[in-house]
Amino acid sequence: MKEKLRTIEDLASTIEDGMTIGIGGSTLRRHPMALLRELVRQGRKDLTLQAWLGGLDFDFLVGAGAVRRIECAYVGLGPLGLSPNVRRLADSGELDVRFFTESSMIARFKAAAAGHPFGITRVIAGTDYDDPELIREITDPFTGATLHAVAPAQPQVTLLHGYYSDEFGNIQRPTRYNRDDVDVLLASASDRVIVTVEQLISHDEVVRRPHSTYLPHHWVDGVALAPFGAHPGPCDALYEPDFAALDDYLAAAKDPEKFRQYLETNVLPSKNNGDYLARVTSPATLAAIRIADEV
Amino acid sequence: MFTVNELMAYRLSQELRNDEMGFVGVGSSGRAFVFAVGLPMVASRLAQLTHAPHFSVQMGPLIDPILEPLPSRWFDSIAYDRDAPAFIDAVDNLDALQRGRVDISFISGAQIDAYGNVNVTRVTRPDGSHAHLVGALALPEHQAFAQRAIVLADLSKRTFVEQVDFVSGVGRRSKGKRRDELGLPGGGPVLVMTDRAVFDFSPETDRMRLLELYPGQSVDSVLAAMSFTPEIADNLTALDAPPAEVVALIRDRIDPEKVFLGVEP
Repeated sequence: MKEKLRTIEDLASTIEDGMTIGIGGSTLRRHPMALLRELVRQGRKDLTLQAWLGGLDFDFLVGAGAVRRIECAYVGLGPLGLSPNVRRLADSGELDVRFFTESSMIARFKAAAAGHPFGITRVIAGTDYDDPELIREITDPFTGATLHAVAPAQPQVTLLHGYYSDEFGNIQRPTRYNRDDVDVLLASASDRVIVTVEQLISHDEVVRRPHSTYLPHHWVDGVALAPFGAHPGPCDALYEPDFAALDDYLAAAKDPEKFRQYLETNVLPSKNNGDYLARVTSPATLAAIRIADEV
Repeated sequence: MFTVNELMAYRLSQELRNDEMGFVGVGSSGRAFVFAVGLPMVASRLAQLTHAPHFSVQMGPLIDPILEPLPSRWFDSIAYDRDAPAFIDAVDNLDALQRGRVDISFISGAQIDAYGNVNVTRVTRPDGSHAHLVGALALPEHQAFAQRAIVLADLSKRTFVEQVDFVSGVGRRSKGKRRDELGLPGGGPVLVMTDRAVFDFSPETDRMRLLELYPGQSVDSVLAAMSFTPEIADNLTALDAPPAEVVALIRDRIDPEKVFLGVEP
């Protein structure tokens, strides 16, 4: 096992302009927001984003001008409605949007994870998900039926936010957690995986409960500590959404000038995630949204 | 007295059968939340408390959660953290849906056409530009693979169009082909429940067919709220008000805080 512990700044610096990156979490929850904020501080641009259900992560990076193209089965802010930054730049044509369905996007990640040249889906028939670059009609060699092949989705690097890790990048989760994401599949599909976690725990603790490990160390290229790293979204089992900070974010995202001010006030000048948190919320709020600490 | 949402929840609950599994997914806000989450959740609990005690709900990956009380806030990180016999993986969940292991799905969208095709991806403006929506979620899978689907929407000329701008989920027929010709194994949309009337689909033409009118509505008032002309069932019926005890159940026990049915048409 290699020692994998890095700083968020170091992890972010391994991502280059123009790369295809996978992002974990779903809609509002458990996206690696601290890492994405560092990408924006470092001025990353022309990224292609791949995810299952994009949300706060996509909206933030797109609004910051870091993204050329998105591929996903959903982009929106769940109970908060549509994604304002994505919608604005998609409607204007500046953002290249490749929508899939939930199972056909999963088929793309499954194909990449298994090293297959394409995935197979039955859900495209009759729909207008007909991207000629990434979806092609094929014939079932056994029955002759018409099916659709989907191109593999193989991120050059996938960014995840997790719960606990040791210094080797064995990523563990609590007993009671939300599984409505495809983080493990994304990690298997990707060339490289970097993870931020809420808490570092000892390797001795990890080996006593191997069944809690969902990302083993040899899949993980680097890990960094990021308490409240999913803020302002929730990290299920550990803290709820910061509704006040989400409201402030949403108000800014609806207007490009206000969003630029949001970035210039809260993100670009902040030295690290703790400094960002001090700018947008309060210790009392963070204490109030915290749910539990199982370790 | 009753509200339109209460009538819709009652009518929807009558379609839910004992021992079946219904699927409720991610909701957004306002009326869209009422269609995606509010009406399905209240109808499911109502069915459990009346004629179908063993009707099960899947809330995303959470299987058959205890629905008393219903969640007070619908953020998935919060709503999904409740007692239930099982919480399955998202990838397994989509596989199960594709194998037809969901009995009934609840569908809503920005546009619905005469054949029950639904658009949640993008609408085309008069100048030809696009307004992007959420993309898909698993709506295409629910319309393709669930045993049957029920569409929920407010009647309006903007929503009920002859042909959707983008087919996200396939109805009875798309691009000139019937569901069986497209290789779609699920039952697809069988009913469309709106704020004025209920529709099914003509077995001959596959087109939407006016089936039931809500109290106070007429054929004319329904047709005036649609951009296409549906067929009209020979046995067109006028629905009665929901029973007083049903309205009381919804108000006093199922949704007392109006979390689910708070936004009326």
